[in-house]
Amino acid sequence: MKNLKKTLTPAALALALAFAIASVVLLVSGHNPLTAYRAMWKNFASLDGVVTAVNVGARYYVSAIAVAIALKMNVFNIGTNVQYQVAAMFGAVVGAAIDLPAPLHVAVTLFTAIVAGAIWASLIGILNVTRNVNPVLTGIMLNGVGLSLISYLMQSKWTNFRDPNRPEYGSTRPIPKSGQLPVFKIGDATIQSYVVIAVLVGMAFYLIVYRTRFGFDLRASGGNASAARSSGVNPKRMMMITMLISGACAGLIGMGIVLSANDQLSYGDRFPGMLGFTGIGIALLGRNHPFGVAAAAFLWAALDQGARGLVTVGIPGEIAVILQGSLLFIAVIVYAVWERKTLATIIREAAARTHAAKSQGASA
Amino acid sequence: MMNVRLNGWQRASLSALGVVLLLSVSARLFDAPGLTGSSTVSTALGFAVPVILAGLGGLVAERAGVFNIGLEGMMIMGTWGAGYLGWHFGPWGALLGGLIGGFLGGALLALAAVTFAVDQTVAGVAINILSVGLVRYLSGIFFDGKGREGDLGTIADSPSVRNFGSKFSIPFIGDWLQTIEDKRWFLLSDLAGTVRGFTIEVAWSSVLLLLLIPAIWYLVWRTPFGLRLRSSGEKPAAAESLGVNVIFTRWMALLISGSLAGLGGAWLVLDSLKYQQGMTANRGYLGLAAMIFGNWMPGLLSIGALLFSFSQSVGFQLGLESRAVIGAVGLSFLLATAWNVAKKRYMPALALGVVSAIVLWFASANETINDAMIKALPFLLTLIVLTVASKRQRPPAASGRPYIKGEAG
Repeated sequence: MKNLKKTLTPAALALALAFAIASVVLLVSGHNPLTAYRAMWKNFASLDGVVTAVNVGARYYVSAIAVAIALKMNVFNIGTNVQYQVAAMFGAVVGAAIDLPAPLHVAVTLFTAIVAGAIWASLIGILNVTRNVNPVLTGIMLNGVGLSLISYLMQSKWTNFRDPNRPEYGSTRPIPKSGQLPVFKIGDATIQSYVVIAVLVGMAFYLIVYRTRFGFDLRASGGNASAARSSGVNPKRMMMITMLISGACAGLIGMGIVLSANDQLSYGDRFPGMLGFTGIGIALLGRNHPFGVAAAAFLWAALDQGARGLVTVGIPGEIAVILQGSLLFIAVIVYAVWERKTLATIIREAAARTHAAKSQGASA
Repeated sequence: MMNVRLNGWQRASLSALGVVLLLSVSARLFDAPGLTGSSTVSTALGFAVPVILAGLGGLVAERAGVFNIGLEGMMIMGTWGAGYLGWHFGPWGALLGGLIGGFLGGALLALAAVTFAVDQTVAGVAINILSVGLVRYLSGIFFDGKGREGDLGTIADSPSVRNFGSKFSIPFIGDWLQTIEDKRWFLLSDLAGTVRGFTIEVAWSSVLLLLLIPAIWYLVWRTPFGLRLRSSGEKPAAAESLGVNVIFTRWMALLISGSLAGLGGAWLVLDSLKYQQGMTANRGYLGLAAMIFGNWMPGLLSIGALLFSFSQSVGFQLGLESRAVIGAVGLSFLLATAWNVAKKRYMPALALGVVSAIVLWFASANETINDAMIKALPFLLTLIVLTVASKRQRPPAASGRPYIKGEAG
């Protein structure tokens, strides 16, 4: 219970400060903050609003977990933003090309995306391990290369990549019925079964990071790399495995969009292109913890959903992006300060105990 | 065995000469005289300016011990500031606006990463995300629907910004170089074209901002402040014990760093004659890559940026020319193969030989090259360069570590 309070207090503090900043920005630009927040709340607090936030939040969650697993060993996988697009494209191509019974069809499609994401991410690992190239820079360069690869393949003469029957979409062929992820109706709202995949990803993350030898080594390498090395952890091997897992996870980010019956059912021009970067922010906001990230992902998606209601009161929806951005910025400061404060308290208490024990020993 | 020690500037100019030589060979082989033509080079020089400025910003920050991945966000803020002040007050206003925008971004990072000692990468990424939302919100208020009829701003771009009226040329030598360039003599004409690209019809904004390369070099390596800055980046605890205020120094470094990135943004605005959303197109990150390639030295950094922007500039001209760049890459792999053979390292030599054969075959087999591939070329080239250069890098020792006052005890 005390632990929970310790986690929630800084998060609540950051949230309050972020809303304060957004309110000032709104006031300065001549809008009433209360009107804005009421409109946002109204658009979110309905069955449809909440379900949409859950559907979108699931993508954000998977995206954030892909980043978080690498961050556990202090490696920034900034390449997720294109890893997931490359993976979604290959996933969509294979999903449309094969013809298998329903569960197997979906499994093969998802597996393709996972492998494509892992391969693309492994390039970062390979260059780092063999040539010592900074993974952040490799990630950025591969983002540029990956987008070119996608547009090259999508423009090519191969009709698996570009559906000739629907030139107006500029997309892959549609996924047939047997390859789709089911959706469920709750009243007017439609929830995607992709949410289950997100939950499974979260569970796998928890088990790998906190319940396996690999996870222990991962956290040890992130905490103190040289100590981990001298206790027998091979940093190059860790780097490679981490990038493979992170990329595999990133491969799943876009698959809810590609495979859900109420969504795009193909990869093309309308596919969202910033989910990876959003995931980075959410991973940092949720402090790389499976539950923290879940809360952050839902909050982020809820703000997105709320922002769509701002049009009705004539306030620019970008205020939500300011809210998200300043929340992230303040949160990382509050977390860092809070952590140091708790650390200082722990040290002080330990010192006091030692001192007390010493004086007791002296008096005895 | 030769054992000549060269200083940074000598090495930089020698490698520049080597690059021109390589390109001129490739221009002959693949029949693409435009490869080293003055127009390609002058476009490349322009493209390089914002990347160089971002790189210099990264250099100043990291020499003081802060890894600044927020450069992209600072540059974005710079473009917005330049768009706003440039629209109202012309080119000088744009430069000032870029400086202010970047300065504020630098202050944000300093607040988080220096004062509150947040993880530097985390704080920088937060700024990159924040800046995107911020400029879009500001555009909605200050640009959307404003301006004159036919020149209205929107949420994604500003009304048009005026650039400096004239361009800068070094007098007299232009015609003379043109004559040599037209002769198509091997290497000599290529050199003339290159020099001409650097000296004729250069935008004033480029000239002004490129002067910052020697200025930053002087600041960091020849002033007392520069000494304090570098000591804060190498051994902050020792620096503090000698009376250097590490926190203050890092703050100053980040303010300079952000301003430089912002000025890079201003260059973009003056070049496109308005602010456009997303116009930085990852140049902040590319600046970091150039900095790492340049081993945290301004001269080599600029060459790295030029190399990148050169392949971009060639991409603008499409067709045969682009093929010659790929050919040049293949030739450099071939050189690396020869080098490894001479050093009796046969395994790397074999690998490099295979790669160079594939690349050269590709360049000679394809008359024209796909548009998407041309877009990928600068990134691929940077990756290759990083792969070659990264092993022998020496970043500032304390880079990336937050410093807490009194750590020295």
